[in-house]
Amino acid sequence: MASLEQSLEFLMNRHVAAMDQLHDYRHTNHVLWRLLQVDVRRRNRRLYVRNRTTGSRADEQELVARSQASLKTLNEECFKRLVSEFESFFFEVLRAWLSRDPAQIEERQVEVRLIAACSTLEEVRVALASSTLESIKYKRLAEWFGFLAKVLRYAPLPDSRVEELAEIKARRDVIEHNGGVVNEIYLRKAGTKARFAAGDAASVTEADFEVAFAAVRQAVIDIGNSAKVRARAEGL
Amino acid sequence: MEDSQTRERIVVHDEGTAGPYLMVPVSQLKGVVDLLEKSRIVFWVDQDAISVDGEPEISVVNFGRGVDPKGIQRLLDNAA
Repeated sequence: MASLEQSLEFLMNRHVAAMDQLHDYRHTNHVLWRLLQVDVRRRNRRLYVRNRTTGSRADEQELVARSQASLKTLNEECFKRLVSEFESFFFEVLRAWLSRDPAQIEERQVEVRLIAACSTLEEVRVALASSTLESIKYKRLAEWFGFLAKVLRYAPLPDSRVEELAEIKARRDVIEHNGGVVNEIYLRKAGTKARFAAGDAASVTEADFEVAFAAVRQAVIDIGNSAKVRARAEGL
Repeated sequence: MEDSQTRERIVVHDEGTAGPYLMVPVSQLKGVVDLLEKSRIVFWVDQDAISVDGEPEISVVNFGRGVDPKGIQRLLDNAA
């Protein structure tokens, strides 16, 4: 069985690779839409496409008319996927750690059927770890990092970077759950790092995506490396 | 303002639900940016410039949804 350090290394590398692929995906699609705009607007390219499934048709003017809105959607969707990637990594690190170090699992009541469904002690530990993590998922990001620091006995990121990530996550939540319109929930979650006022459209420009990408990618690396060092130190 | 490659006016495109944008050869980008900044118009420039078939690289300048595309067009048309 792989050591916890090896498991954490694998998780970190897998998520960094996934984020790099996401960056390539966004960039490539951005370039392709721009290529269409340049080709039609400046080089008089003519096109005609027909969707055989729906029967809809579009010429080059109609395709170009969709381009700027499509780029906006591209940035937003990739931004959302970036945050999802971070959340998956964060909880996978905690799950891997808690499965090896069940002493950190919170004292709480669990349903008997959760334990009854397990056939090995390992499965019980994983089930209890998952149950603990479910209770944290709906709390603020600062509380996620508070729990991580308690588990690792070390805080991998300073507060300022956690606050930056909190704004990114809050913006994603607004785009996903409130039609992109900034509300009080965003302002509360983003705190001093809030970039918009209530009622604003929470936009994601190309530059916004790049800033978020750099922050999230580095956070994954720093959390992964910190967790590996702690796992080695704890002999897990 | 004339596009140095097409020899036609630089056009502000405004379609769909996203904000307007314009395309300009990279060689003219600074002039356009200076004009927009002087007029305090909020904009951002794509990171990439695109060249097709060896033609001059083209930059895209983007504007937010609240910006008046006709106002920007007048600004460009009146500029040298």
